[in-house]
Amino acid sequence: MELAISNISRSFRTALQEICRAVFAAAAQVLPAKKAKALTEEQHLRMIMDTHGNRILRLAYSYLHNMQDAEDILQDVLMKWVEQKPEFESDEHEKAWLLRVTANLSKNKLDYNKLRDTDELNDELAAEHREDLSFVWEAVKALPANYSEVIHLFYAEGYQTDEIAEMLGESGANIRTRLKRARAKLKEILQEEYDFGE
Amino acid sequence: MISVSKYKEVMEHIEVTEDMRERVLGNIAQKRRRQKIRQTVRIVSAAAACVVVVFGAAYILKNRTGIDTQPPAVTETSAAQTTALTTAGTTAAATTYTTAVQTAASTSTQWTDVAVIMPTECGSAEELRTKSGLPIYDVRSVPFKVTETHYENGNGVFAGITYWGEEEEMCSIRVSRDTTDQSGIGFVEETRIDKAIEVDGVPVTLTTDIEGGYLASWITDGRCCSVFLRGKNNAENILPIVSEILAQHSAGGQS
Repeated sequence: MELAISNISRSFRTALQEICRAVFAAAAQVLPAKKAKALTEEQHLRMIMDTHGNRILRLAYSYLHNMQDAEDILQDVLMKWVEQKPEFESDEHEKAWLLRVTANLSKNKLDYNKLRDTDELNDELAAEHREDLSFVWEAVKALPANYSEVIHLFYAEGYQTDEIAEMLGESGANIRTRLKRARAKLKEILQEEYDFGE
Repeated sequence: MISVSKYKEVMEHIEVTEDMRERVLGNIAQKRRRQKIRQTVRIVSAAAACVVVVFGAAYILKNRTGIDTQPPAVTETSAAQTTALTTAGTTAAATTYTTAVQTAASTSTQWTDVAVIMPTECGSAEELRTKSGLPIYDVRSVPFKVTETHYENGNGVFAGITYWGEEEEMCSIRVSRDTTDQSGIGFVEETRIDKAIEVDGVPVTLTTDIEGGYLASWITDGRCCSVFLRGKNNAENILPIVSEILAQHSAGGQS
């Protein structure tokens, strides 16, 4: 009787050990995969920062005119990417998505900047004695946001009007009209600055 | 004349520095960790709540007196009622899903998301009405000299007419296919001012934007209509346009 009990308990112990080993092996296979996935997300994030960080920052700066707010927008855009994990068909699609989100978030933040007077870019251009570039930046800065955004996307990012239209959710005709008016306004401002210098 | 292409040279002065890079990535990592903790807490709380509900229900049922132990008779009436309830449940679920999608879509037409309707140009208001199937007409009460007009078909989701003036004046009229706001105008929550008024007996919401534009929006015949006006004396000039559009819709055509 005692022998029987001893045999049963030994078999039970062996079975329990086998079960534990199997569970541990399964967990060991799953956990490293999860750890690798987390590294991939971080690596992807760094890659986006390296590839698109400057253009996101520049577009945000064109709206907000100060580095602190532009940096906040850069962070918010990357955070959106992390949360939404959008699927992209191509690099161009990824770039357009990032810039569209940047434009949207910058416009949301725009009103707070009425209180800020800092403009590090202007200070930097003045320090370099680049009056020609300062004139251009001051002129673009003086435009309403809906004009300066098309100027930035057209001249700094090299997008065509139909691409800008798709990005901003408007018709190509509206964007062409806006660009035409922005150029006219810019010419008027720059003309005044140039004449004023004479 | 200074060339505008210098703008690109200006922008090249703005760069992501190493400090900024590490700061941004560090902040994101921190936010992600906090999100994961919050998510775990939510899951555990939800599971705990389910367990409490299940055990609570079991306890109540166990202690309930006077339960009719006889199974209900299956009759034709009961079956019909069951079918009606199931259909109603499915319809309710479908309505809820559609409403949720519409709500998400209406949110996404504001500043936050990715869904974009690519409008196509039409040559006239009549062509726009035909292609979109929506009741939209030219208006005469635009308070500035119109130099350009654009007719946009938002793939049947909305129809829009935009009038441009000589200065930066703009008047944009939109009619949606349902009650979702398709004006395309976003406002900063902290500074928007909404005012509820009545125009010809119809409740209209007036909202101002950060650059002094005015948006009037209302719902008639199950459709959201909007007028956005940027220019001088917007508050006075927008109401006649609203009135004209209401009259057009009442008359079923141009007033």
